[in-house]
Amino acid sequence: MNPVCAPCVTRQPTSHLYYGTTKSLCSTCKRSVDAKIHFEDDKVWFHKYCPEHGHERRQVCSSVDWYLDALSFVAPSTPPRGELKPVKQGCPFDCGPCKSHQQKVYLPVIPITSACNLDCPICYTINKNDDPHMLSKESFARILEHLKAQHDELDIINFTGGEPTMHPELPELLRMSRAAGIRRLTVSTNGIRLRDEAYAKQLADVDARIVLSLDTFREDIDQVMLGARTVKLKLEVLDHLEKYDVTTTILPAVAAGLNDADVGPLFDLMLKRPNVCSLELHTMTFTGQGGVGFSKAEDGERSARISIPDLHELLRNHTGGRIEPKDFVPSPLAHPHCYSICYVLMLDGGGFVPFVRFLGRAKMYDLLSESIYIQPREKIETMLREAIDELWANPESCVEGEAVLATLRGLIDRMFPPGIVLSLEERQRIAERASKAVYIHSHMDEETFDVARIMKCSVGVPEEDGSNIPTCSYNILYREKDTRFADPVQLKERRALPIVR
Amino acid sequence: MIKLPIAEPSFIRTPDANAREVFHSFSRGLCPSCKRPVDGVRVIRDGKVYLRKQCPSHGQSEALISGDVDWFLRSLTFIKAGSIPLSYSTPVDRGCPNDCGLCPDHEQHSCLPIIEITNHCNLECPICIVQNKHNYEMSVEELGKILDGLVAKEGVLETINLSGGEPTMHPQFFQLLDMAVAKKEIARVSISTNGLRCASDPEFCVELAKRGVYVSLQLDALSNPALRVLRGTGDHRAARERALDNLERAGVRTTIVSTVAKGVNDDKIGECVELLYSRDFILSLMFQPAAFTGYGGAHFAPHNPLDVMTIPDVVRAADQQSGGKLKKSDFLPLPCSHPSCFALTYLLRTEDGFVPFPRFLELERYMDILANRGTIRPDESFEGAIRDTIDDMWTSAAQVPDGAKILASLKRTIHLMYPEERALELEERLRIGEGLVKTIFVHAFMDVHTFEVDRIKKCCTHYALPDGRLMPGCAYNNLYRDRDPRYAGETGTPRIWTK
Repeated sequence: MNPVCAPCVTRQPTSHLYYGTTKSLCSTCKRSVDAKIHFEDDKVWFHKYCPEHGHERRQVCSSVDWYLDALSFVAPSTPPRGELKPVKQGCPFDCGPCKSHQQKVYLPVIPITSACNLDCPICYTINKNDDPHMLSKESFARILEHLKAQHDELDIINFTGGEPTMHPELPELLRMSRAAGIRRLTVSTNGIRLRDEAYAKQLADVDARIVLSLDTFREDIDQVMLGARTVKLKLEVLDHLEKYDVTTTILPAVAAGLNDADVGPLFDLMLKRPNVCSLELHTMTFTGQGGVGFSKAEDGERSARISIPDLHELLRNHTGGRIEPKDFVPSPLAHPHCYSICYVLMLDGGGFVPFVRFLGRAKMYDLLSESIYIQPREKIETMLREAIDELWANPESCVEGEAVLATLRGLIDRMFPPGIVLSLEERQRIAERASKAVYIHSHMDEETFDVARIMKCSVGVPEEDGSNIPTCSYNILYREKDTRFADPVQLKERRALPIVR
Repeated sequence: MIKLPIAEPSFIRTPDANAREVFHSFSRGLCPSCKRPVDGVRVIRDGKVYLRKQCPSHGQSEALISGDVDWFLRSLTFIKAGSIPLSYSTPVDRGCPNDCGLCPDHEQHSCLPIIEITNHCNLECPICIVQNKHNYEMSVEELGKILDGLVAKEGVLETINLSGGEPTMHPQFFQLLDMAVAKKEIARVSISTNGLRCASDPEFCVELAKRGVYVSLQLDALSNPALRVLRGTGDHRAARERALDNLERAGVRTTIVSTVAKGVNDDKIGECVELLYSRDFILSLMFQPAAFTGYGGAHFAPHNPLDVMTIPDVVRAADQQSGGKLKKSDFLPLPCSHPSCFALTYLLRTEDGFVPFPRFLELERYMDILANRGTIRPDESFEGAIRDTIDDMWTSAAQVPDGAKILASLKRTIHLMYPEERALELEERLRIGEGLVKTIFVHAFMDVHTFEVDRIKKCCTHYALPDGRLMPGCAYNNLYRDRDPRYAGETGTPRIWTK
């Protein structure tokens, strides 16, 4: 044996590629631990070590290809303004945010109540109905003041809970926000209260946008995920929302082996309903009162775990390739592994074409650099006009080029009519009836937690003292300590409940 | 499925990405004040990459970690699987980097073990990355244990390096060297030296040549003002030239190791390249961007960690100072180490000079060729790559600059290394290969400012200790060396040249 050639014989290559190291959490004690990022079987794994609980290996993404593709997008940070918490224990234990945080909040998410009229097995947050928390108007006003001080212009806030429609003063809180100059007010709801048409109209009158959680069309699956049969009710609610032309987002939490087969039909529902302008797919995350135990096997594996590239594949298959994974781009305002976004243009003659096909990925990415959800400002006019010129010169460059060209021309004429300047709200409404969006938003739990992602988080939970906590930190670490939402005794009992499925 | 490394990854940037700071990733480093592990972020600013850390006690600190964001981003897609040693010396206990030795969480075997046989040195280099205490000489027993331990962990080894201190000052130098050379599981032995003994003692060089030992000669530049800043008092220029002449005359296969410090000798990179090109006994050139640890870290303090040399800075300087011989695109990150630690290129000898391999061969396609070695490994994958390239160039030689010349050199290479008449022993082929292919490496060590846990986990350059531990180089230099029990006693008396 010649020694020079021998190492390949005696030592074995690792079965994985080592990509790098980040910081995650121990799934048992939630302390921060190193996580080596391994590529193996074309999937991405975290290989963690906790000095107390040993090694832990978790799949965090089902495709190395997508993982690296997302990281190939580069956008500048906009750091948070105002008073920042000092770094004491290190990320993510100094939230508020601290001096290490890299991104200001672009989507404030305000839980206005701890009350909820469902008790979902998949619930990824923590609530209580005994002595429920109801955010007072005064406290809300202070939150608004801080938000306004922290932003030159605040485009959007989201009301959540619990179930925000159980807050008796929700319409008033919406009016206060409107008065504060915030354009997009979204209410995340399970829809139960919106079956009351008068209430639905009341929200429509303040131009609230509804984010309706609708996970499946199958009652048996609904029963497993929500512990209730809500499909019929939600379809009724959708009729109300359509009747009052309420801009609506459908938000399913997608769980592998349960409602992943519903993603295609939900996409079709978005296409069909004129007032439904987006589909926001949340990959199932295992936090909160329901999530921690959901679909957890004895060995800790989660059968319902699904990641962004799986949803790309589902949509590719469902649309026969009319939506491809490369039609999605990350958000420039968040970590590239948190959002995957695809806008589609609704063609005048029917059908749709992803924006990326006629804009390219770089422009699509740039379009998203001011707000998590596109705003119809001048930049989009310029880009669409360039796309029109391009298609005019070379209609073959895009699938259904002629139809795209005709649709874009009509859209530009309506959004930017010669001689008239429409308000942003008017343009928004036109744009949202002519295009639709799929947002895949991947939250983290302690198993998949990546400190790089939390540092760049732009979705924050604001408090009346002016602080705000990045959502996934909040869901994993902070909400359970907040007695307004969490009843420690109840929580302990829930965690002891038998594993679901 | 994606294939790594990605030869030409593309990146999409927003129009304002170059004008503002970009958060790239999380990276755990050390506080430069108290050396405790602290959270850090890698940020991109003005086309460069910085590591910014937050220490709960000492606040924020920042250091340059890459002088070229394009190089940095591309390098992270340039990885290949590590390889597992046959056994480990320490368990995973407190977590990285506190379990070194190696622990089973380490991601790479010991590609290049370094054995420090003494901490005596006859120089007192202001840029020295270690802290010599002049109180230790390795015993024959200790070396025997280390060599046995290396064989137990690695099976066979392509190269080991004897270093120091200044290893040639060890009173039993040749006895130790012969032990290493005699070890049949070790293919090549190299020594790292400042060259003073080579300069003053031609017979010493002859003895090295007899044993087939490779010399890594410290030579930062060929002119004196720069050398004095890095190496201290004395006529280093004359000493280095005599060392080169003696090594050449004796026929010692030599690597030039140049520590590159910003503003001191970063204008001498072309000079070092010229030396490699012009003298046959020099097989390779290793640039080491200065790291500020040990004696040097203290002497250069306070240096500005935002204005230091990094791998792409060396590559850029090589491009600018070599008169067209080398281009930025001739260099690749080394995928078997952490891609931020090494870069390299191979040079093919032609009838009138050298041509960098990437000009005619997509090295990304031939991963097995790329390795942390002084010279190319002339095995089947190398032969395959050369034969493929000859086939490709048969049709495309007209489009490649100097195509005909390169094609002729490749055919000659195949003819000499893989003759049809008889199969050569690999060792013989290696010797022939050394005459046909030269190498330029850039190896970036880390100091407390630039240290990243991410990088140390895939380190392949390990110090071998008598207690059996194999210490990843930069972990040892920054965190363990000052606690090494071998050096616990009183500092000895230095015998410094010219003093």
